[in-house]
Amino acid sequence: MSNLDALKEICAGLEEEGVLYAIFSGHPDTTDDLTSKASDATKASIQTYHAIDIANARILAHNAANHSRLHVGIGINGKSAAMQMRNCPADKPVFQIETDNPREYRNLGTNAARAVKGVMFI
Amino acid sequence: MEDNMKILAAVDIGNSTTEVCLAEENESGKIRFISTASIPTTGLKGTVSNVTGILAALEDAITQAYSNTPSHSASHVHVNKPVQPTNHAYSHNPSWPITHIRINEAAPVIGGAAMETITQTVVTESSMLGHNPKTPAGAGTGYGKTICIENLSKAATGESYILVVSEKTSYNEAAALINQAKDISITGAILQQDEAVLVYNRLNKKIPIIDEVRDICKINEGIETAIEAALPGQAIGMLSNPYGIATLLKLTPEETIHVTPIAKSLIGAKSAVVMKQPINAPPAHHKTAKNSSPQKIGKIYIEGNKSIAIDFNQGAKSVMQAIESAGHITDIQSEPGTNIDKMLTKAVSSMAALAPSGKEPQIRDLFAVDTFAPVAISGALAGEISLEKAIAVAAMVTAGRLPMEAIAHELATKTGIYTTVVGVEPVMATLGALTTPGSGFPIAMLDLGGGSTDAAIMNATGQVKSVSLAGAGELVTMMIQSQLGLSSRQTAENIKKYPAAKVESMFHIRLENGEVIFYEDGIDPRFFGSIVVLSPAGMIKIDEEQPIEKIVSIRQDAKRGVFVDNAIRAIKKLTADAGPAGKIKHVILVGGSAEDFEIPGFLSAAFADMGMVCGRGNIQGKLGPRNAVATGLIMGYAGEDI
Repeated sequence: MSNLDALKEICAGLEEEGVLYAIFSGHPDTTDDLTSKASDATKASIQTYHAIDIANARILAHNAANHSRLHVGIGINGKSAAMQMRNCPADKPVFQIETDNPREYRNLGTNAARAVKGVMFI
Repeated sequence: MEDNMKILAAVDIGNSTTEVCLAEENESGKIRFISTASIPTTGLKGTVSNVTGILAALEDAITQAYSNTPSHSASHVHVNKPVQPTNHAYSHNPSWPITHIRINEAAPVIGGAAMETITQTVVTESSMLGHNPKTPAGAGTGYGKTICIENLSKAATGESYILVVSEKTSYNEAAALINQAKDISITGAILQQDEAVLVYNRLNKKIPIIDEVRDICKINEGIETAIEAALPGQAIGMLSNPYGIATLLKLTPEETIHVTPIAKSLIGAKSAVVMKQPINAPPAHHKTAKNSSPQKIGKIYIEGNKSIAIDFNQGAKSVMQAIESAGHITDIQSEPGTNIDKMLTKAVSSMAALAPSGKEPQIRDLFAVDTFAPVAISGALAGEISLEKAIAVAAMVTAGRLPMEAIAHELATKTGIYTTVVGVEPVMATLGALTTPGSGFPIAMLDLGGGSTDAAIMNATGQVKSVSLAGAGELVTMMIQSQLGLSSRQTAENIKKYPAAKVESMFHIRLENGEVIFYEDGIDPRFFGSIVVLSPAGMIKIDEEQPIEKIVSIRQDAKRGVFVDNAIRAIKKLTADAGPAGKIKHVILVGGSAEDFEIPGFLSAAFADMGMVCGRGNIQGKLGPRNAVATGLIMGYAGEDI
């Protein structure tokens, strides 16, 4: 499963829950592709950050959470993705997955949205 | 002095715990409490297997009393040879300093509880689906014939359709297909997956969409269907109204009457689907649409000072009035084959083992309370539930005399200590309650247990009257479990015992009273966003999603409904011949349910309104409501002596 496919599933999870999100990527292709498909309702502000640290999904998630206005971030790197909430220790993501199963990426997005809403995780 | 010092041990074997109390009596007959212990009862109460627990409890009490360092213990604690902590594992003949063991004569009454729903919602003429998906999309109503998305190409142009989308079609494909079918009137969609918002966001023409319908394969094509999604913050308005359903599905007045149970059970839903034909309904049921019809519960025949027959269909209040006017009850029979018969059999079945052999257990008291229970609706698609009326009863049964002498004999053999069976349980509990600072004659003792509420009153001359009533902690647990629709009894028990809280972030929880607690090391993500109860061992998650306000109100209503009503009933019964509420000034609460974090408060408030002082007992001025009977056994001994 490519990072782009994982990202799509995560975004679907977020969108179904109605939570706004922004994508930052080290890969220009990723964002172009998503910009064309993103719906108006999502109003996602998509930007490209080439210099982003793509070393580790956990670090990405931690940084994303600390920059997010909603205090929640997701990092995707290789076969791994992590969800983190602001002020949580960087080495302890709320969720971390390493899988090829699209359903788990969808759930990661859903749970990130639920973290924002304060609703029980699935 | 040392030779004259007697060490007394009192033992109270309860249904769940065995409590002991150690005291010493000096040569002038003065009693001083030394220590207490409490250990889970081993085996069924009143059987010889209790001895194991008694020995462990005595061991515990002795260790507490005598293994302290001599420097800060009172000197006379050491008059007898202390058991060294190194000798911890007791033999069958321990060198305990005890001179006399007293076991209470356990009350030969036991309570049990059962409940039964008395209404039922069956939907057969139409099928319905009124669940609460977290994220439906769109708002408003739609009407049309069902059609699967795979067959959209065969749709006719003049017709209205409700689209059925199984998990085989992704949200992208579904949205694309709907957008393509411009000429076909699609007024709504039902999805199997949780993708309503995803589809909705991609539609050119917006329609209401309901998702998370797991059993979507049960929906046939070509069925007239109405669908509704509510505006944010609101509940549906058309499909929760019988005339709304009639409007959308073009029903006749006769058909409208039949959809009333559907409308009723959809009140408050965020989204709903109603179909004009049953889905896979067994043909035999086709014309038997039941309309939340109340079932016959049956009659009971109360034998007492007055013999009364009362029909449960008149409601729990009328039943309780009949119980009250019957006075002293000798037995209660139920109409054979009825629901109440089933319930009473269930309530007393657990106690049958303790009934005198060859005799059917006689019911000495009954407590009935109206309640409700969420029940799955037959004819519904997604496991929808409807709140049905229910009745809960607790019954009190006279058991045979428990073989306490056998226990005493076994204990005496194993310890070599003189052991006697003494005292009537409520009297002992009252004597124990009297050690509460501030209490005085005339006193009432309320022992709030699991199976029964026992009460006794005592005046200054030592005259005692006692009564055991059905209905206590177990009934409360049962009501909480049924009203919240909990799958496990343990969850109900936890909700009863501990305050509820909502986990609001990874670092804090908000308690039901608004108080906030922070956790420095973070909270396990499993708990995030959920309702938990705060046990001393930590948070316990409640798996069923319920608003915290509902949990709190159901819990408190159940406690009030059982304990406050029963306490007042008990005191009334005991003081019936002494004028209104007698001259009782003090009401002391003891027993397991008196340790509850809010029940004593409810009772204090209720009795304060009646001009009585009521509160949780504080046995020996330090033990809280525990150990009343064991302490009473010691007090009783002192009374005999003096």
